[in-house]
Amino acid sequence: MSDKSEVVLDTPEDDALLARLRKVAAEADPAPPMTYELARAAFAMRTLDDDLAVLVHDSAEPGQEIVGVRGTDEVRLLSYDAPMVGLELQVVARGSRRSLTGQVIGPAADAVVVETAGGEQVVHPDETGVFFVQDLQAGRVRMRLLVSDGVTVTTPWTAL
Amino acid sequence: MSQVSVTELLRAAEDGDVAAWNSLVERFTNLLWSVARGHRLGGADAADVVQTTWLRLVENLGRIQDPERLPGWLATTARHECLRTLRRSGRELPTQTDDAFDLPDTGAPLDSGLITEERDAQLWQCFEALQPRCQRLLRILLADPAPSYADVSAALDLPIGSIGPTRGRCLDRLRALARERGLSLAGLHTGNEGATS
Repeated sequence: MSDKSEVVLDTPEDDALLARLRKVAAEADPAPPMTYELARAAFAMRTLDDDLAVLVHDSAEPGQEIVGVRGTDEVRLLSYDAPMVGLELQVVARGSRRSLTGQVIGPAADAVVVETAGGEQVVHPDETGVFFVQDLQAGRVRMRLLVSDGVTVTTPWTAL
Repeated sequence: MSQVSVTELLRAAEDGDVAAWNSLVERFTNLLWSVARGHRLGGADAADVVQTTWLRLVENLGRIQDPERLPGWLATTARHECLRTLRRSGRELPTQTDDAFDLPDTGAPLDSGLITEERDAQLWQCFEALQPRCQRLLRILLADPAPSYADVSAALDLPIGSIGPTRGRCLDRLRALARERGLSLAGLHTGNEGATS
């Protein structure tokens, strides 16, 4: 797939050494079969008609103030934004367990589907849009907000 | 050997074609793995980066602006996930400006796996002794199929004009390491490949 039109200083010796290294890399360090299996399976996670929310703030990113440590618990704040709706999330980490407090901002959400590698659970926000998820296993999580007028807004997968 | 274009595969996958999706996975998983390993991530972290990158593509199906540039998009996404992983684990982030070609690599050695030829094993050890910046660039260039320089440029956030010269310097460095270790590269390049599967 290399673009032949590019002007570079590659010598035949370099090309040959690189070709040899490519062969060795394929032997010494191939992508494990499991990575292919998981990648194929990812296609089933498609949510065709959902609006995608964007992660606009994450206190775990560098340059952000450390939100707080309560005893052995760490607190992380995330904000997601979509055209119609927002989601504020507070994640309390204790070891490999996570407790979430979320608030849906904007239109009322009938339900929030919390998806993890291990499955999904449905929670129902109260009239202020607040919901709780207790004792989640650390890992990749995404949330699908079922907003009242039939719209579903999905967050990206986020490692919590 | 005619291949269906990336654009066609992506469009078909967007229309729900599982076979097209699987073809994309077949074609580019090795590239993503190479990006992760080039950043010196261990096996579990590298696998996680690959998986996250494919999930990002699933989320963004129908939103990819420039389908021909999909390999670059995938590799860039993978690099961002690598940097996130490195930050989380408190490891030092790679810098583009670090021109210290003699900095020793401090990452954990990769498993050299089942290398049949002793000389290949030694060559790979030399590769792993290269400075991180060289490993990042060369490892992605070693992906099969090899990415275009435009994709590498996007993936590593390097000016496209710097890739060729840096590649040359890194390979020279590799040759020097081989010499230091008494490994002869003569005939290695063209060596008979007939016994490979």
